Amino acid sequence: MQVLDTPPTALDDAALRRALAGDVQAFGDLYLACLPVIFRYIRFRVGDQALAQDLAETTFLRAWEARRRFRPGATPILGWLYRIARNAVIDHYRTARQTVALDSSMPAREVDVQAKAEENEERRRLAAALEQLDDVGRDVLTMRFVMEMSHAQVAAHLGRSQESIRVIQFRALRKLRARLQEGDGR
Amino acid sequence: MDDRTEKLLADLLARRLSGAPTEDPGLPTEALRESEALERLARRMGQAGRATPPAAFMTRARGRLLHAIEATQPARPRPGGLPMRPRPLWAIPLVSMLVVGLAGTAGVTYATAAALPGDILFPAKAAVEQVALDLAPGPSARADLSLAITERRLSEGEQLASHGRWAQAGLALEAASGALDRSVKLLEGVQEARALDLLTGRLAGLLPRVEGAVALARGAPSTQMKGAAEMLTASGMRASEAGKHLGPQHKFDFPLSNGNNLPHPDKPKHTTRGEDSPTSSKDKGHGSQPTRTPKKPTGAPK
Repeated sequence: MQVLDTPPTALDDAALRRALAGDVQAFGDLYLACLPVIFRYIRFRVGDQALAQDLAETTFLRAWEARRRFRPGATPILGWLYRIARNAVIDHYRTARQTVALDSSMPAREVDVQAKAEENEERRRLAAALEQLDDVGRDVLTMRFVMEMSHAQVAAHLGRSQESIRVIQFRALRKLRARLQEGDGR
Repeated sequence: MDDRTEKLLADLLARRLSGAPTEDPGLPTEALRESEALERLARRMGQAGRATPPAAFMTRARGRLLHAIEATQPARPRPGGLPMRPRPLWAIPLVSMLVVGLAGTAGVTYATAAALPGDILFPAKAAVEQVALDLAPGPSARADLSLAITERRLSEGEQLASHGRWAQAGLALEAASGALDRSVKLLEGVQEARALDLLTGRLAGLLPRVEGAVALARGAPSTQMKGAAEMLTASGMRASEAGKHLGPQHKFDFPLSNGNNLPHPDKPKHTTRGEDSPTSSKDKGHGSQPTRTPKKPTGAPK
């Protein structure tokens, strides 16, 4: 699965510093560079395409407001944005009291209705089981397989060694599998 | 599982997922089988998470964010540039005409798809949606599409409200009300049992979101939003009632339908006294009568 080790984004350090210092245009560039990865995470969590777009925008607006609190040495930017996105999703569910969000993309044909429902159901089950894991396991699996970050990137974001990330990944996948099997057995 | 075996399996899995060549680690068959199952699970996650922002969204995402940022802060000089000046009103139609004239079909299509209620290009987007509905190959596809449009209008309303664009948000929620009514009507025409089950389930899942939008609209400092809240409440009640008949296996909760939280949509001036509604005094006489005739909710205040 080569794609999992594809770097999600390449950010110019100087541009990042300008964006965090309050340069609106540089922040716009940062937005475009990180949007695909953050969007993938939000879309995985909420399912609905239009809602994912709104929450991605909310995430970056919050990041803009909180930019002075970001410490470049302590956390890489994607990890910081991931936390903000995660909170935006949690806030959304808290205020909208939604339990399931459905994909609002338009079906082309009648048969697509069922295919889309099944796809949504698979995504929803995985997302729900993932949320039951401990924080570090959930973050490692999300960053690795949803945000498509490499072991090295995840290790840098979470401040751990690559070896430790590999073991956490293995354990978390085992737990996730067990959760899904429990769900099937009910 | 001992630490050594766990580490060997973790390394094996990591190498497989990265597409790197692997060697036989000399582990029991059962452990290797589990490792393969975990690899499949990881790939399923990757598949389920695979999504890219739509091209139309990406095209205007940067501009929208910067506009939102600038709207939230007082005007100040940008680094290396002149201060932003407010855009004159005549510039909006002029710029739009230029965009339409210069961008060509593809550009206009993107701009249209991303238009929000109240935008100049929004009627074109609504027309495209109507054509898609007309061309949908059957009743269930049509109902599914209508539900998708309802969700989209709700999202647009929430998005506009989050930026304080109340009038446009009100328009979006009024449109969501109409789309919800249409969806219910289309659902009533679906004959195929499996499709009806899926679609009524989707309608049931939509009601909490409608309820959230009503709460948002009622709390907004805008007469238009309060009018939209009434229309959306009436539509939610109708959808809840219809859903109970069409898909009794699903949960059609719409707490607002008990009538305790809102003035009756038909009698806004006579039912505000003594109700719990925090907006009752402000709602008085705003004159946003719904154009449709909603059914009287069960248990509505007398």
